Amino acid sequence: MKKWQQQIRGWMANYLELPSDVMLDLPRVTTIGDFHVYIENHQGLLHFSEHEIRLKSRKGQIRLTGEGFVLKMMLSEEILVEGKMHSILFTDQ
Amino acid sequence: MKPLQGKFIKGYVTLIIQGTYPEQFINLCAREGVVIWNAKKLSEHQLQANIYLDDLTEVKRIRKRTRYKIRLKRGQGIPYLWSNFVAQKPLWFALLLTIMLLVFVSNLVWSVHIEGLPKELEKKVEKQLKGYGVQPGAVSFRLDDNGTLQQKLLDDIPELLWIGVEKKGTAYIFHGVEKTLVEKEEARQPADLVAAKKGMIHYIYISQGKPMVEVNDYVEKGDLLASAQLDENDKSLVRAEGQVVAETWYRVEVTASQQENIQTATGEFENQYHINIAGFEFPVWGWGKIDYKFKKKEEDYHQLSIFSKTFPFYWKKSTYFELSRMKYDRTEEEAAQIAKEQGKRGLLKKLPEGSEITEENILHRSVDNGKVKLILFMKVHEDIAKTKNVNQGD
Repeated sequence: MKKWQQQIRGWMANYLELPSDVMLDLPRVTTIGDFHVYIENHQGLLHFSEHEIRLKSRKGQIRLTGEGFVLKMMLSEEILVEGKMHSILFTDQ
Repeated sequence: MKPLQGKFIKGYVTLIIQGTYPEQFINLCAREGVVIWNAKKLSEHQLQANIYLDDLTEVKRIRKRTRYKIRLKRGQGIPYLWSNFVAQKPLWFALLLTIMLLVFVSNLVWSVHIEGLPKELEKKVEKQLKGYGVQPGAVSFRLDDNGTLQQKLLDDIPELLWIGVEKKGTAYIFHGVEKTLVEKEEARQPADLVAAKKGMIHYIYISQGKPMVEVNDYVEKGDLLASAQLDENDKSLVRAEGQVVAETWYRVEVTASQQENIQTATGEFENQYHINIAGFEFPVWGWGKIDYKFKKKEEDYHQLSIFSKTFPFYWKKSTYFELSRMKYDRTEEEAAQIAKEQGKRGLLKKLPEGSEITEENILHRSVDNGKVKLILFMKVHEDIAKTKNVNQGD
């Protein structure tokens, strides 16, 4: 059932040109240069330190590495990270 | 960044969260709807973050369910500034007291200067002023205004020709000009007494000089009443002084209306209060329209001043009194009586002090257009002596 729903959503995102982050309930990651990362629709903060941030998402984890991380703002489903980014990594669980 | 607007106004706190995986705690908080910003890892087990002051109770509730320790580092924003200020009770009490004292003190009269008058008169003015309450230590807004003060002084001290009243901050400065009586200078000069108008002598008292007339004598204007020369053989002259009361006659025409409008207050009144700030008036109390048919308005201003400056606002109290207007028709007799009184009063006003009307007769009475016209004849006893300097002709 869940799988089927997911497929429908994917199909709608494709053919009706609806924004996929809304349809598929996936995180939207926006970066500004290498010093701001704005992540919407995440599912929780797993780890946070100056060099590494790990966030839970629907499909797995998002891992940010870099230096001098500060959470500029944190809401229940949004997060704004400031610092010097090195990489953004998506991992499946 | 929208959720972070107005953080200074709402007030915020910096927290330090201690425990293993402190990020789990802010994760929990964020899920409960707490806005978190500027989160920083201080060390492995310490995390610093800002939250709104409003969310603090929520965070404390979450903390109870967990094993984290929270330290409040510092709070910022208006709620903190305010509580800091309120906490300084003696400070704001003192501030309030200072302002009150300042306002009070600057509304006191600190000094009264009188300038331009001889010592003797100065003392007199000072004494008179004390009578009005104008003295160091008086509260100035309870005193009369300058114009009234000036008028009162001029009325009460006849020696004053003019007095300027100036209020400079907390000081009153009076610039006086003494009446230099012209007669005073000429007091030594010999003079006759002559009749100021025609009349029949009724009473005569010459304190100095030689009387030239007797009671029941008829004199014309300019006639000699008392001579400066005491003896015909004596060349030395004196200044004749005295009182010569004569019976004089006047013909007076007066009219009085037979209709009279009387306005009386009914006792009903309404107050309206306004505050005037820099020329703009704002109603404070009493908005409604005053629906009296006839009304009288009285305005009362209260203004405080500090140093020599007045505050740019004042308090205005307007009182509207209801009036009732009545028309009253006088009979011809009543109108005539009023006209007569009016004529007498008018005449006495023109005559020197101490004059009295001994007899009055109505010569003619006519009614025209609701007006009664009288021609009165009056006999008056008045002092007709007038000092006239003798031209020594040297």
